[in-house]
Amino acid sequence: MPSVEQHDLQARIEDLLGSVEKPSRYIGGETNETVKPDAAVRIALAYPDAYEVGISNQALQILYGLVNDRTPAAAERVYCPWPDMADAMRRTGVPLFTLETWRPVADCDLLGITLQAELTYSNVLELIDLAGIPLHAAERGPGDPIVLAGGPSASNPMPLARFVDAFFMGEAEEGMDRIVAILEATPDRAERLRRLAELPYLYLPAAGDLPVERAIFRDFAIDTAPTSPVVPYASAIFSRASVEVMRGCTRGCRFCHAGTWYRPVRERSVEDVVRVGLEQLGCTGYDELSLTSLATSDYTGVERAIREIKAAKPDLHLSLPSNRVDTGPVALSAAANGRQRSITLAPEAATQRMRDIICKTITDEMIERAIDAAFAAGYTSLKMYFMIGLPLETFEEVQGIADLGYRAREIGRRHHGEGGRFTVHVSVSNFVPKPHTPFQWDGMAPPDQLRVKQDYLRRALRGRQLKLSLHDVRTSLLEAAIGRGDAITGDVLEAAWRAGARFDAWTEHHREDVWRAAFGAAGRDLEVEATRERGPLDPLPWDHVRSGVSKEFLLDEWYQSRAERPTGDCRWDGCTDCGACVGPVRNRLVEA
Amino acid sequence: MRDRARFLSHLEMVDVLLAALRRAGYAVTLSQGMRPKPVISLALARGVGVASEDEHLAVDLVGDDLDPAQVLERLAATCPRGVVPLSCAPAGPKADVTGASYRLAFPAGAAELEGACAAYRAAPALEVERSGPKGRRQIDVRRFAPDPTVEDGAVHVRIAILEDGSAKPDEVARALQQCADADLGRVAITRLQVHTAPRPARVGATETP
Ligand code: SF4
Repeated sequence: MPSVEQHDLQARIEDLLGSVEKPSRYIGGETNETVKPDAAVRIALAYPDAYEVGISNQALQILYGLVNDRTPAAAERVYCPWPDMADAMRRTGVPLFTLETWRPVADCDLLGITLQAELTYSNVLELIDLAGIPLHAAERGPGDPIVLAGGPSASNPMPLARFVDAFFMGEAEEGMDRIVAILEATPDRAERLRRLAELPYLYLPAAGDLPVERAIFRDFAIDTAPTSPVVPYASAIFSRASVEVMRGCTRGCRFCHAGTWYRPVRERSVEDVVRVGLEQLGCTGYDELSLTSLATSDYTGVERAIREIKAAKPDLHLSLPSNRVDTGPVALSAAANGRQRSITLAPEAATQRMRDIICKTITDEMIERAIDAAFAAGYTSLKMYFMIGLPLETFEEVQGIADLGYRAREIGRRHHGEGGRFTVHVSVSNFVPKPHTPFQWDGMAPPDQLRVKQDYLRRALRGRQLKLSLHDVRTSLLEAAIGRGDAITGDVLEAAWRAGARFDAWTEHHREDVWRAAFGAAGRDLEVEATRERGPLDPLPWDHVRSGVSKEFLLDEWYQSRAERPTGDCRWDGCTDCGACVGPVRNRLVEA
Repeated sequence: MRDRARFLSHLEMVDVLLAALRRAGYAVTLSQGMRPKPVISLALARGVGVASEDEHLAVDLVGDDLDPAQVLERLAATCPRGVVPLSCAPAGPKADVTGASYRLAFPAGAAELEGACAAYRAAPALEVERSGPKGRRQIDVRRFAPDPTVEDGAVHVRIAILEDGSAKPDEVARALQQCADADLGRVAITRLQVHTAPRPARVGATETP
């Protein structure tokens, strides 16, 4: 029986829903939702962005399933209310509530927030505040939930250290059980925190900057993969079944955070992948299945998995994200989904020199062959991803992007005719240096330089069958300034959020003036922070976070980049001693 | 369609039903053409926030000899919270939706509602403003919904669909408020029934040999 208070809160929420945009963001009740109204321990799992972004996140689906299916605790979901809803909630005194039971997040034992991108950090503060939880960890008392943050961006916890009680480093599959056990064992908040501090992969800022180790889910066992994920309402950005076939990537692209943070490579067996994939399709009613990983064409069992899934479900849309640039992967995509008309390739850089610098080991010839294979297979839309602003970049690299765009069009015309109906879509983002990568010591390119290069591309790459999209320099700048930030960046965050910053990744809500002022108030400059270079001996704010990959290895990779020398992939070319493999933890590939 | 499910939009609801059918093991026939779409229609789009006791879903499922009772049973098991399938039958001859009945529940007492309904019925016309993508215009809701009455403490009203359009239940609620002496409070709307009539044979169509 809901209490009178609860009943009253539910009525007040319903009142609000009549007047906000997309009320389905807040109602829950989707297929495969789990409700455990009587659980003694309740955990709110939050994604600090809108429902349609958050519900598509796989990490939260995994944790939701783990907690609800394997522990007595209840996991309920929360997404960041859109500004219209947030304002209405503040006006009417409605606190942040979970979707499942519409009960206040502040009544939960734990608020777990996933950090997938720096541009959601203002929303982290928004969530904590809307919940009615004191903003600073130091001000929280016995009745407040523990605020825990995890996800890839937690690898530099410092910008959020003041607002978060504990950070989870690395893969949470095994650790989540331990955390729930601690919450079950004692109701006392201080005692809970004391026990959490004993877990080697938890960083509690209040206890000082002690070393903390990234948790690695050694087995990567299939039983943690969701078989019946929550099926989002129509507005979600991704609405499809998905099975993670492999974790980790050792190709070693030097700009890539995931390439360090998820080492080593662990593959799942084809049998498991096929079984869980089909089970998920049955439980969700989706007509699309995605085989996910950082680079699915590298998965040893990919061909067999496609064959077996196709045999069971001939009409299924099967998608393979993150394709390596070569003919093999293109053929795989075509085999996986004959109906799909568009394909994505990610050369990242257009010249051989730059690809050697970033360690993207593909040749011009491979790229051309892949483009040719894509058009030959009947694709009519080819999307290619590039970055500008990479270390050691010259104008030739930028020109190279335009050249490759034209070259792709030429190849397309050979297949589809001079006036053929096809598009070459060139998408160019701005390099943002990330912690725990060989480029962590580098700065982002100055924004003015990036704008000049963007302008150049706009002029250089235009015409029929060509489409260019450029990433907003303002949002990249902010991402760079926060991502490698320190505790003072926390002051900036708070000031910006207090001045109205939220949903910074959404162009319509991005407030550059607010951020500039917030950096200024902390005695800093947005551009200086984003473009800051650090020396090999300079302490880094995230030095106490041990990813398993040694700093020596990263530094060596940095030197290799200056020598324009790529490094091999340890799966095939031998171990390069990055440090990630310890004892039983090692690259584990399945039979093809 | 009850409780929180009423906050799903019409399109979201169609999507939810399609997924529920697929989970129940049924394939929906696809339309012909360049971009095939599932052959499914949910009659009379419902405003977001309006609950409903009667929705008409017409869908073309792949397969012969489907057992309606079994379809109903399976669908009941796969629909999300608040969406309750009530009955299922093979599609009959085409019918047109002619209108729908609604319950408009106000916090106000029966006497105030009686007064508002009487004034509403006595008025020759009742205009409310409708704003949409094509701009603002005045709608005479009384033409479509002439006869609101009070039953069990709530207003019941039938709204007709005429050649030139129809009124929305919240517009009728606004018109009632205009007719009331005091504030009736925030309305909760439930669609009670969708009314249909067999589609008349086309008049004037002649066969040319
Ligand atoms: S320790 Fe060696 S084998 Fe393991 S991930 Fe690092 S480079 Fe690869």
